[in-house]
Amino acid sequence: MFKNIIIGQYLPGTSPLHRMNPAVKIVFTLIYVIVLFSVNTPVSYAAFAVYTFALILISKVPVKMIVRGVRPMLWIFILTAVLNIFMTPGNIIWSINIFKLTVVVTREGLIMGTAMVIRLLFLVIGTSLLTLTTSPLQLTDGIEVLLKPLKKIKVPAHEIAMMMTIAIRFIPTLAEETDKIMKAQTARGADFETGNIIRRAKAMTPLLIPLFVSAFRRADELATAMEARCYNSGINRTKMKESKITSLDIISAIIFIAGGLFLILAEFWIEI
Amino acid sequence: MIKAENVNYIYQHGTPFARQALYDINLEIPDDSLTAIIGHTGSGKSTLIQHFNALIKPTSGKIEINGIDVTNPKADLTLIRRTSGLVFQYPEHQLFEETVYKDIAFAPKNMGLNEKEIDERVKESAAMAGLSEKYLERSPFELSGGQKRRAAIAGVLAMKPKVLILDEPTAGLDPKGRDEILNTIKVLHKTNREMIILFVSHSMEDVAKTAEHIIVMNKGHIEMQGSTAEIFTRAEYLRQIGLNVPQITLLCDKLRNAGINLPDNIYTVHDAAKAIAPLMGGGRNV
Amino acid sequence: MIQTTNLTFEYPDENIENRDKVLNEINLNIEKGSFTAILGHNGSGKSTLAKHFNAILLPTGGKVYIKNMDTSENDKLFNIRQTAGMVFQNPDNQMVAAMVEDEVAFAPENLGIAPKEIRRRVNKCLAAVDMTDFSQNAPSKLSGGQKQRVAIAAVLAMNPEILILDEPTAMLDPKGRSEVLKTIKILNREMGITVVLITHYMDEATEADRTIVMDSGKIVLDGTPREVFKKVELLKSLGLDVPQVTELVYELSKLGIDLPKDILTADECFNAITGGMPK
Repeated sequence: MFKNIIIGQYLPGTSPLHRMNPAVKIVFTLIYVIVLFSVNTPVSYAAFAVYTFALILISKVPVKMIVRGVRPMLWIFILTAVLNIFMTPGNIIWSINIFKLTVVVTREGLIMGTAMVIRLLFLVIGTSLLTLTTSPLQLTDGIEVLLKPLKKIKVPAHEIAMMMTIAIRFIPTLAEETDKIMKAQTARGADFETGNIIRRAKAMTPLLIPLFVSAFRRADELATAMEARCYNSGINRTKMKESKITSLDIISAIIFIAGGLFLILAEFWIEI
Repeated sequence: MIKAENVNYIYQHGTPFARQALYDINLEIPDDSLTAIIGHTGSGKSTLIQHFNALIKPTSGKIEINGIDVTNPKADLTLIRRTSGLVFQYPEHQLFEETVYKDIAFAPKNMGLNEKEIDERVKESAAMAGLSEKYLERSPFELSGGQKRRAAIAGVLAMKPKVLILDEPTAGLDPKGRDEILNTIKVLHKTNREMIILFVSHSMEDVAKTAEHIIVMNKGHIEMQGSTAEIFTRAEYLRQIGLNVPQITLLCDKLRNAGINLPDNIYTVHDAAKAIAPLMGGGRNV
Repeated sequence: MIQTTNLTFEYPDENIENRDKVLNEINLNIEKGSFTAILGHNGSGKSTLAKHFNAILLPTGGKVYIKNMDTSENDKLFNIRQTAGMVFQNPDNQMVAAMVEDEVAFAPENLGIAPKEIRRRVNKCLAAVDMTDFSQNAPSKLSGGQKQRVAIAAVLAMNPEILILDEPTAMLDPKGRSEVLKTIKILNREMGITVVLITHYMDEATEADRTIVMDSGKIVLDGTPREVFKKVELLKSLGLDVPQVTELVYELSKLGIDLPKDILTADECFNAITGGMPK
């Protein structure tokens, strides 16, 4: 089932969305989410849908892939809808007695439930678009750039980015190692697949301990190898690939900010 | 006896990433044999041995181990894994218990044996793997590289397998450690005649010193199989498929080509010295 | 280039049985542009010695000088590590980045070099180890030999004068080993880099200009490979291999046939044997 979750997956490409500066893209995604949660009229949602659809087209990510990625989240959508519909107080439009419990559906609840589902849907699509068009490495660079100002308040921006890079680098290595140890223990009669949850958790010990031991050994050796190449916690460090702001970023920033402002202002205007 | 008939294996079969690793493998390894599978990385040797433990099922073809059809979907996996013990490459990476004793006891415990039987098996298999009893109560993480490997091999021997398969048992060891492990394998073979021993290697020198039969793999195919003598007479061909042929084999090949009469069964320095000395007017005190 | 005077090293904790890892009064002088192999079994002290050449370990007695810089002086640390670059045994555990070219850029980035110069060095170093075609690959998609070549390029990017390789081939298959050895030889012969190769494979040591054999923290043999490998009995007693043909000549001498003792290759041996045969 994990195969279909698209958040965190990268789809290589050359679309304008792929070519944008990762830091700019992260900021846009944040604004997208903020605007998404601050508007609440049908017109705004329609505008959002058009806008998001346009982004998908520009990114050249197949729509089928987006749909497939949203599908595993279906249960969360349903749960959100149900909770909002039944829990929001307001004008009762429908009620039913189940045993001694009265279940009511309110007008506000229906509106709130629909709004929350729409928001979640766009949230998933928007963030997926970010990760689908940005490689993990670029994402790390983007985060580092954005965290830089926070260095003044002692946020270890470089270290966080470095940790993420190393994690990305070692995922395939550790996955391969997991597979190998699992096979080796299976050959000694270990059983990872049957029994109840407690039994299965216990059966993981022969896998987890060697995995931790090896991860620590790797970490130790990696630290030495980094020091041998003059690593000094990012002090006076430069970057071969500087993330530059290009005209593409500026143009999309103008379009994006104008669009966002228009939406919020329109909403404000409708309300008065 | 290990028998493979027309075995093919394709990784990620049916996906765009499909890649065939084994092509039409046919082999028969008799009981009471010490066989080496040789080939370089990517030749399919590791994939092949995982079939003998039912960790991988062939895409097509049939494998039988001691009369058990491993490829039968209804085959008893537990029985198969007790019959053929598989020691992976760098097996010391699988050690996890607090003591070496407990680690070796892992497999017999999984088999549901009682404490007395487990105790017997732990001690017996440690001895078979050449691990002194004084290490049994130590943590496996305190042992040296060679000792860890022995502990891991003992952990597989504790299942009393009919077939012992070792994937590159000497990888990463220094010459002394390598010779010790190869020697342990030879002793195991001599003292447990009913056990088939199969080991994977990419060193022709190790194979020359140890094995009786050799299976040469290349690009997922079996290139040759036969006795050590048969395989080593084709040194030039082995070199063509990218294997490192021992200096002695090269030298003997050259000497034979120069018209010097040498027997076929020269694999070691000692063999060569014995054969060459008389030709040079020496060797009176062999 | 590298000089040690009475270099001694002990692990501080006496409870740990590390006595075999201790270095004992090592005096060594490694010439600029040379290719030196340090041979020894596991625990002979060879890797401990190598780690002193890069100031990863500091001597507990005596001194180590890299290009006349004392490794115990802390302010020269980065200078020393730039001058003497180090490649380690496990190719997987020394790679930081998820892409080959980023890996090579790592060291110059740490040194604060300008982006354009980093790019130039990355391209040059990848070409030097013949890995240009793989610049965009993930390290996990490479073979062991390719990974080690990238690791070498990643060190070369600091423009070192000395390359120290701590058992770089111990975990590789024969193909990977020969790739790495070929690369090392090219760097030494064509780029004039001083190479110190730590290994337990004798066939790699025969390729060097100078072979140093270590045992129990001491240097037991030091000379050209021909001089060193003649000592068949001593090397075998230290748990080391000698080339098969060198051993053959030794065995033949025991049987009363005298051939030159310093034979290293099958061809040399062939000539010696055919030359010594009664017509």
